[in-house]
Amino acid sequence: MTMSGAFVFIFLLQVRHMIDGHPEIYMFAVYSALIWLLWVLKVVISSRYRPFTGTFEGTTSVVVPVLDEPEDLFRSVLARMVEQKPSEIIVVINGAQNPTLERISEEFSPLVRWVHTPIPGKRNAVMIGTELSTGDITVLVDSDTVWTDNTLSELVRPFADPQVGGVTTRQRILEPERSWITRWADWLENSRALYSMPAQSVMGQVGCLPGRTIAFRRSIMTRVMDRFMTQRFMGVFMEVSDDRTLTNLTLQEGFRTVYQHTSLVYTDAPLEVKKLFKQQLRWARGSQYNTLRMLPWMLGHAPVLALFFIMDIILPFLLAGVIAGWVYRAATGQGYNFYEGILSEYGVQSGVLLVLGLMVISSVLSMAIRQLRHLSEKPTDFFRLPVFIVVSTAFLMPIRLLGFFRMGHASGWGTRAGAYAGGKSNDRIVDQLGESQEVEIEPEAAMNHSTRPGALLEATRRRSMNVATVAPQRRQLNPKAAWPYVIGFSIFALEAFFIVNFS
Amino acid sequence: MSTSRSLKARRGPAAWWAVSSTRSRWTGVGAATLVLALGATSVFVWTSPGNTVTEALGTAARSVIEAESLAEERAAWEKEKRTLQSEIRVLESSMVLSKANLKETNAKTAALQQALWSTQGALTALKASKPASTPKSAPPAAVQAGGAPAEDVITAPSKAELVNPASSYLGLYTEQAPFNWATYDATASRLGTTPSVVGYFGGWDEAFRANAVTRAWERDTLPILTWESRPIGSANDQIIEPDYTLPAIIGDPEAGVPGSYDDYLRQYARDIVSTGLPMGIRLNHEMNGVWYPWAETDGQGNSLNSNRVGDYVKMWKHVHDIFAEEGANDLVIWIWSPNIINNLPATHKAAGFLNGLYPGDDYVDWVGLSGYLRPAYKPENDFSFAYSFDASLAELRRITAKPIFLAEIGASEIGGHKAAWVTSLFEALAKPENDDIVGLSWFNMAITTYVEGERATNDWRIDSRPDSLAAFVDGLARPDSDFALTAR
Repeated sequence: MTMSGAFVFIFLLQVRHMIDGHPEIYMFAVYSALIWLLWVLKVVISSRYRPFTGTFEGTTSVVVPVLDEPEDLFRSVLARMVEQKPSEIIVVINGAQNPTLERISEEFSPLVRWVHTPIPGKRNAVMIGTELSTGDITVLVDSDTVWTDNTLSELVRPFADPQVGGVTTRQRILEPERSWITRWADWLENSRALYSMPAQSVMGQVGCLPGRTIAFRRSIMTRVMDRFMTQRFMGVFMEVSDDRTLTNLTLQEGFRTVYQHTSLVYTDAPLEVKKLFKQQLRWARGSQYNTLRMLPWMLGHAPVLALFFIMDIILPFLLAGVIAGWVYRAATGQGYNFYEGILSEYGVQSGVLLVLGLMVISSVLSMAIRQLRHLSEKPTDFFRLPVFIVVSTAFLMPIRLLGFFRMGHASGWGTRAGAYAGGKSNDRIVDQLGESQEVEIEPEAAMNHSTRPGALLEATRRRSMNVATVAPQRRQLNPKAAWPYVIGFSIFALEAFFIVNFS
Repeated sequence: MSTSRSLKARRGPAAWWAVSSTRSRWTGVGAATLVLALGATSVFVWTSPGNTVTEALGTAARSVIEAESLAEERAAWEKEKRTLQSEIRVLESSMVLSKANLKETNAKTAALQQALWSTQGALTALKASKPASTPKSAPPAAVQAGGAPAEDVITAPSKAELVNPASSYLGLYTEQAPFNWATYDATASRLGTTPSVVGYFGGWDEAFRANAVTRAWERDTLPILTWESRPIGSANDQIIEPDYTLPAIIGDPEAGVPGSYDDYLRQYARDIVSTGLPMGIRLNHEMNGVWYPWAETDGQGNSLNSNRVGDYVKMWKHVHDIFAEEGANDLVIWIWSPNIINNLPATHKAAGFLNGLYPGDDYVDWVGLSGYLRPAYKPENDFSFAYSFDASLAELRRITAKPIFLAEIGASEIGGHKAAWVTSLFEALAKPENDDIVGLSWFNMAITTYVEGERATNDWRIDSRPDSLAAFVDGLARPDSDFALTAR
C-alpha cells in the first residue's frame, strides 16, 4: 500500500464535484477509497496479531542455496546461523564450482555441510537441500541474509501449533542509511511487516512467505516437491517466486502460514536504480503471476487474501486510468477545473502555491496516518514522506503494470538461465547469465565436480542428469503469454471508454 | 540493535508493533494530531472558494426560507381576503336592504308629491276665486312652479322666482324649527294658515345643516338662515370674539393671506350646492348695531372686536365671493339686514351711516330690517308701524331698490300695545308705498334680556295674548293683504 499516492486533497475536491450531480465516476476517487478501505481492513485485522510464544522441540535443518557471495559476507552469514545451533546446515552451491564458498563452509564443519550442483537455479538447490536435510523443520535461507540474535529460536515457535506449516521472519535492509534506495527498500519492507504480513498471519494465510528466511515442515516440502518442480501456469514454468510457490503449496496442503514478528533478519538491497528496477520487476511479475495462478483456490479458501492480491493488480490499472483521464481532459479542455475556485480567490501565483501546498500537506498527512507504525519507529521519516510517496507511486506503479503484461514472458522463457534471471539473489550473476542467454553445462563435468573429494554431500545423479537434459531448449513464442496483454488492454479500453464518455 | 528493540517490544505492554510502550503512547498522540490535521485540511478544502456544494446548499436553504415566509405572507393575505369577502357580503346584503328601503321611500315620496300637487291645484283655484277683490293685479302664482323637475324628491322654485314672489312671505322663528315643527305648526294652526318661511339661526362653528333646508322645502317653505360669524353658543351680549374678528375673516387678500374661515366657508357653499335647494342667508345681521362682534364701531367711534371701518363690507364680499366661486349663489338669497335705527347711537342712526355697511347691489338680493316693539318705550313712540320702521325703510330705499324683507320683527306685550302695533303693521303693508316689502318673519319666542340695564322678559310670540293673536289673524285676512293663506 505504500504505492498509493492518494491525494486526499484531490479526492475531496472530486467527491465534492461528484455530489454536484456530475455523471463522471472518478477513478481517482474510487482509487483513493480503495486504498483507505484496504488500509482500514489491514489495521483492523492486524490489531489482533500477537507474536507466537509457544515452544517447539523438534529438530531444524537450515538449507542455504548459494551461487556466489563475497567471502566475508558469507562467512558472517554462516557464523550467525551456527551460533543459533540448528541441527544441521546444508550449503547448496549451484552453478559454477566455487572453492571459496566450499572452504568457508568447511570452516564450520561438521555442523555445516556443503553440496554442489552444476544446475543453476534456486528451485533445484532447494530441492537438493530438502532431500538431504533430516530435521523436522527445513529452514530455507538466502545466502545474503543476516540473522540476528534469536532469529531461529523465535522462528520455530509457531510450529508448536501443529496446524502451522510455514513461518517467515520479519525482514529489514542492512544499514538502510547507506542511500535513499536502501532507505526506501527498508521502509517498504517494514511497512509490509507492520501491516500486510501480520494481517494475513492472523488469518493463518500469509500469501507469500519471503524467501530470505522461511521455515517449512520438511514433511510438507517432501510431499509438494514434485509439484514445486514441475507445475506450469499460463504455459510457463516460472523459476522465480519459488518462495511464493512453496507458500501456495503449503496452504493448499491445508496448513497455516504465519508471520513471526520477533524473528528478525537483515538483507541487502540494490544500490543502483537499474538493479532496483529489475528486482522490483521480477517481484511484480512473479507476484501477479502467482496471484492469477492461485486465484481460484484463494477465492474459495482465502477470500481476504484474494482481495489483497487482486487489489495489488487492479490499483495500478486504476491509477493509470486516472492519469490518462487527466491527460485526456487537459488535452481536450473538457475537464472541470477543481482548483478554479481557489485560483480565482487567491490569484494565480499564490493560488498555485496554495493548491500545491494543500496537495502536499493532505497527501503527507494521509500517508503519515497510513504509515503510522513505521513512523512510530522512525519518526524522522515523516519528513521523507513526500519523496516516499512520489517514488512509491511514480516508480512502482509502472513497474507493476509492466510486470503484469510481461507475466507470461518469464524473461528468457524456456531457458534455465533465463528462468534464473527471474530469481532474486545475486544480481551480478544474473546479469552475466542474462548476457550469455544460455549456459551450457556439461553433464560429465557436473558429475565430475559433484564427485570430487571434499564434497560432503552429493546430489543424486538422476536429478542432475534430468535437469540438465531438459535445460537446453530454444526460445519460442508462448501463445498463452498473450493473455495478460489481452486482459490489460481490455482494462485500458474500458477506462478509456469511461474517460471519453463521462468526462 | 533492532533485535533488542524487538525483544523489548515483546515484553512490554506496548502494541506488538511498537518498539516500546512509551513510543506506543507517543504514536497515539501523533495519530490524533495527524487525524486532526488531516480533518482540518479537508475542511479547508471542502469549504474552499468556488464550492458549488455549499453554494447550492445555501441557495436551497434561502429558497426554503423564502418559500416559508411567502407561505406565511400568503396565509395572512388569504385570511385578510376571507375577512374582506365576508365584509363585502355583509355590505351587499345591507345594500340590498337599503335599496329596498329606498324604493319604499321613493314610492312614499311620489305619493306625497301627488298630494302636494293636488293641494297646490286647490290653492291655485282658491287664489283664482278672489283676484277681483285684490287691489294688486299681480296674479297669484304657484310659488314652486319653478324649473325643478318633478321627479326630484324635494322640489323648490328657482331663486329668481323666490326673490320676486307673487305674494308676500310670512315667516316664523320658533323653537327648533325647521328641525322640529311642533311649535311652528301649533302657531300656524292658531293663525289658520301655514307660513311660507322658516327662520333659524346658525353659527360659524357649525357645519352646514342640509336637513334644515330639505325639511323646510319638504313643506314648501323657504328656509332663511341667520348666519352669525361667531359660535352659536355665544351669549347674546358678547361682543368681543377674538377668533371671529372681521379682519380675521377677511384675511389680507393683497398680501395673499387667506381668511381664517375660507375653508369653512368654501365647504359650506359646496354643501349648499350639493344639497341643491335654495335658501335665504341673513349674514351677520344688525351690523349697524353695537352689540355683535361684526359691528365696526361703537357710538364713540371706537373699534369693536378689532374691526376696522369698512371691514364689514369686505367681509360680506369675501364670503359672497367664495360662494360665487363654489357656484352657491344660484341657490342663496343674500339678505343684508340692519337693525331699525330708532334706538341706535346718534352716530349710527345718522343718515348715510348705512351706506358704509352696504356691500352693493351686486352682493345683495334682499335688504331687510330687524324691528321690535321693545320696551322701554321712548316718549315719542306711538306704537305704530310708521314709528318703528319708516325712518329705517327710508334709509334702505335711499340706498337701494332691492326688495325689502322684514327679516326679524316682533312686539312685546309689555305696555299692552302689541295688538295695535300688529294691526298697524298689516295696515302699512297693504299700502302701495310698501309694495317693495316682500314679506316678514316673526320672532315667535319669549326671551329674557337686559334691555337698557333692566332684566325683562318679552313675550314676542304671535299668540302671546288672544287679542294679539286676533290682530294677527285679522291682519292676514285683510282683503288688501297679499299674504297667500292656506287652509289649516
